Amino acid sequence: MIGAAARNLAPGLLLLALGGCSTDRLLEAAAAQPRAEISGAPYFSERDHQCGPAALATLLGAAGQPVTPDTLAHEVFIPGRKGSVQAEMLVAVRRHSLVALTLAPTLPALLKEIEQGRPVLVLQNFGLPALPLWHYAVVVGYERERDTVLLSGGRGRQQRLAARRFLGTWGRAGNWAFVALRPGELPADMRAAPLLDAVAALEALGQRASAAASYQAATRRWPSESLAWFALANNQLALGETAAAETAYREVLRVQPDHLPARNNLALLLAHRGCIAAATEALAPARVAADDGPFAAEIADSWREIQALGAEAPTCQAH
Amino acid sequence: MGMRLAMVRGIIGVSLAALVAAGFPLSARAGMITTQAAIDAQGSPQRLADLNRVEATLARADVRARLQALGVNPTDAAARAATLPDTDLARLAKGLDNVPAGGDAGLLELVGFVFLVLLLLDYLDVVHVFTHHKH
Repeated sequence: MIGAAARNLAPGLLLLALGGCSTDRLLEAAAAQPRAEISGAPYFSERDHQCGPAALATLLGAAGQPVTPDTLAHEVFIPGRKGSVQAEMLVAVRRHSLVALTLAPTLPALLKEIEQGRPVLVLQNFGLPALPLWHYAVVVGYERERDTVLLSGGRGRQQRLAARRFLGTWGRAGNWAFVALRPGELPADMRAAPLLDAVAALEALGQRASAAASYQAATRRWPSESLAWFALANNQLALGETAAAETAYREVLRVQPDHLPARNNLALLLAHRGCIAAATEALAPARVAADDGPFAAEIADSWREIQALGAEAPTCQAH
Repeated sequence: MGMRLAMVRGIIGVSLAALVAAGFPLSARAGMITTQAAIDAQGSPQRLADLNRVEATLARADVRARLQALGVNPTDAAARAATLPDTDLARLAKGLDNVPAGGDAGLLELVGFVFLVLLLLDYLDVVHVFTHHKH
């Protein structure tokens, strides 16, 4: 009887044990592939306190911007602090004409970028929350069965780190991670707002042409995202492509007729082309809708400016 | 005299019209709303809620006094909070849950308050955490 019971129990225990095993595999739920490895990421050995520049150089090199850690050290490494500040790293990426996109602080978000062949720069804390030991590294792959992530750098060219250890150290650094995107390249991350924010930051550094390609790509992925069209329109205007900008502003208003900034900018664009009637027509609904909310002052100013321009110019032509 | 003034006016008017027709560098003009301004205005409801929470805490007299005693300008702290990415801001706002509600701080509340101060100092780069390093 006991033997039979044990025989019946055994498979159950085995299943329990296996079950325990699979829940221990931390990558299991998040990883879509058995393994992933990015081969094109250049490797740099780290000198004292230079993991920041080395990791950055790996990321930039993989995105087609070959640069040495020494060059980057001048940009992100403050000797007195013996480390690199996160914000400086993002700025350094933008200075090299790439979009620096901070990822959602989750494991699936990180692994999805890896699966698309994009290395991810992460911050790790090997110390305690109260006594941190910071380290920057680049995740270049994972092995689902072995439950490990592959990091570029460390002592060898590549370092295997148990997922548990990686998630612990990454978690104590707030799960901070970012990718570098070439102009026009879109991330695995499907949220429009963070990407547009990241591209706007690149544009703010004067990298208008690079930003243009990314805005174009964003309008293709999210054709009903008004902010994507608005950003593209402003960008085209800054590049002197007035006709294209006008089309893009109209696209904003097609997907979101109450987009006040687009009405404002379109009206000014039309007015300066001499199309006072069209400008007035574009701005009139915004005047009412702005009330005393955001952009009310800008819209009131634009209204006055357009009325002051006076008569319709003969050069005004409908597009 | 009147004739000359009218002529000058006419010339200025024609020049202005020509400028208008030729097109200004529009982006440089005042009145154009920038992409960043549109992004800021669009801020997610969660972000706005978090920011309000942080700002409300920073506006409290006891918090201001404590920050000032530590050499941190509360206005700078608020400005810095407004520029934080969504996730960091959410973390900061969440940390504020541990801040004591009033003046008479018990031991637990005191611990929470110290936590807030450390968190703020960290974010403000006053006490920088990047002084240690691990290879």
